[in-house]
Amino acid sequence: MNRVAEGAEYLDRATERSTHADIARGIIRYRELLRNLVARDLQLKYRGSLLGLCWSLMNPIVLVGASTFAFKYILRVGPERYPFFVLIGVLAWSFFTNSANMSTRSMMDGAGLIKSVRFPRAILPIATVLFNLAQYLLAMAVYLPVMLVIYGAPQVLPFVAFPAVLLLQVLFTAGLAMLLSVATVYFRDIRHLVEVALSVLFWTTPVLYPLEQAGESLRGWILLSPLSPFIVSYHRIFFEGAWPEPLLWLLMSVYAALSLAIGSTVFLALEDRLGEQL
Amino acid sequence: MTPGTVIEARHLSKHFILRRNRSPELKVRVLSMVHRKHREQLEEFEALRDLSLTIRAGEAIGLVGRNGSGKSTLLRLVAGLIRPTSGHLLVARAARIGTMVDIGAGFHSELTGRDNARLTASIYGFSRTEIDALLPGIIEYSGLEHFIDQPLKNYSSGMQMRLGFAVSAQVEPDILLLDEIFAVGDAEFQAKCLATIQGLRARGKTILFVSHSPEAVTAVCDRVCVLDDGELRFDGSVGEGLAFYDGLRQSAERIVRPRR
Repeated sequence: MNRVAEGAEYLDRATERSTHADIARGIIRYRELLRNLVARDLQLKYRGSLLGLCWSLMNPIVLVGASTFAFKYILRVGPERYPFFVLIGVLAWSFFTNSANMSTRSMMDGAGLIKSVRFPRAILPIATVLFNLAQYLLAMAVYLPVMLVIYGAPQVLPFVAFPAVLLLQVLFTAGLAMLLSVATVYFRDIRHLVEVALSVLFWTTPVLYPLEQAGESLRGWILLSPLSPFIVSYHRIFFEGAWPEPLLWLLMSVYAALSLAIGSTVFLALEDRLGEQL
Repeated sequence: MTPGTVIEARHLSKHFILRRNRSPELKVRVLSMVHRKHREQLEEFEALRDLSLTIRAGEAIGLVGRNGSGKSTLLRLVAGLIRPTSGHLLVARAARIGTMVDIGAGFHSELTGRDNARLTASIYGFSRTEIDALLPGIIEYSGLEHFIDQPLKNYSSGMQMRLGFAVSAQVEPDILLLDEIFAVGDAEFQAKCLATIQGLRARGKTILFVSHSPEAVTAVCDRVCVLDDGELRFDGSVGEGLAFYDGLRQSAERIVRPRR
């Protein structure tokens, strides 16, 4: 018996609209597509060579080396065990900034798919974020043990908070990636704006300096920079061996929720005409 | 709605807005608020006009018409890739819609044929186990066993086509949308496509077939719709439909071609 004739239920192409719940359902239902897209990107990047892996591990080390030189030896500021401190922030920051930059291209890169098959388009920016998440975890798996051996482990119990902070960062980044991926289709030069915004954000986020280095009055402002509570939390967990304080949890949750809400709403509003715009 | 209907168009229209002088850059859009030279001009293009059509499960419909007559627009509307401007287009909710993924669209030249097949199959929303089960059939159908673990860049366009069609055929779509698939591929491949399409029809699947080739339409379809300038001009048997299209083409040529 054929499936079509049985259910007398129809979709009207003129009135069907995706909802926020459809995005979530689509990601769950199309998880294999998501997995394949992430696997494809990883495969293309590390295709048949260990060298590919070395290159992507080199970036953070160079940044750590340069900032250690500048901050420890020239400016003579920054905490003890400075390379360890910087590395934690730099890796998490790279995850965010690479995701944001790449997401501006995710719809354009997937234009062929978007124009020939119907599937939940939110999969594309989400795949970008997960691809960068995989790279981040890889870098952490390589560098964290090294740092712990060189500089000694602090309290390890707070490490269990890491997955929760990371999940909030993934949600925050996913919301932003959805927004940027569709917005760039309409305004191609958004990617330049993103680059500028990210470099401003880099300096307003305590990546190279500890939050405590800033004066009391400035700290509140720095925490308004959306990536700050995440980076500070990683410092607390890995560098200080402490639990992130309640204020950080609150800020991370608020930023993640806002980003997801705004990102998915804009996405739903603009997604509709993607097939014609690309 | 009559039982067995899979697709029903009611007064369906699709207008595209052609934007002249539109810039995809925010910079220029802001500039255009003060600068007349940068302002965009809009022009509406009616790709489909007031089309009503009922398609039942198991039908194979040939969509014929000249370039720009709206055939591909109709396919894209059915696939849900673009949204109607007015009217309604009902599509059975349970129907899996299969399209031939554009060559070079879903495919990635650096990946192997196998990985490309996996990726393309997953666009239909299949789970991993389902794809594992489908894959041997896809590979066998494509006849590319020896090349399947080669990167796609080593494939000829005909081989890519075979792989693409193998995926579409093996996922058992309820509605199969085909746009000019016989334009490429050798005789053997075309015969295989034809056999597959007929097999799908025998299992009650619906086929929407866009083609310029009368032979292909005759071989595949049992009904023909002629579109011209966005309007449905004829809906009926294959023989009459092709004759109607022929007449349409000739009268158009008479207008275009100057008398010798």
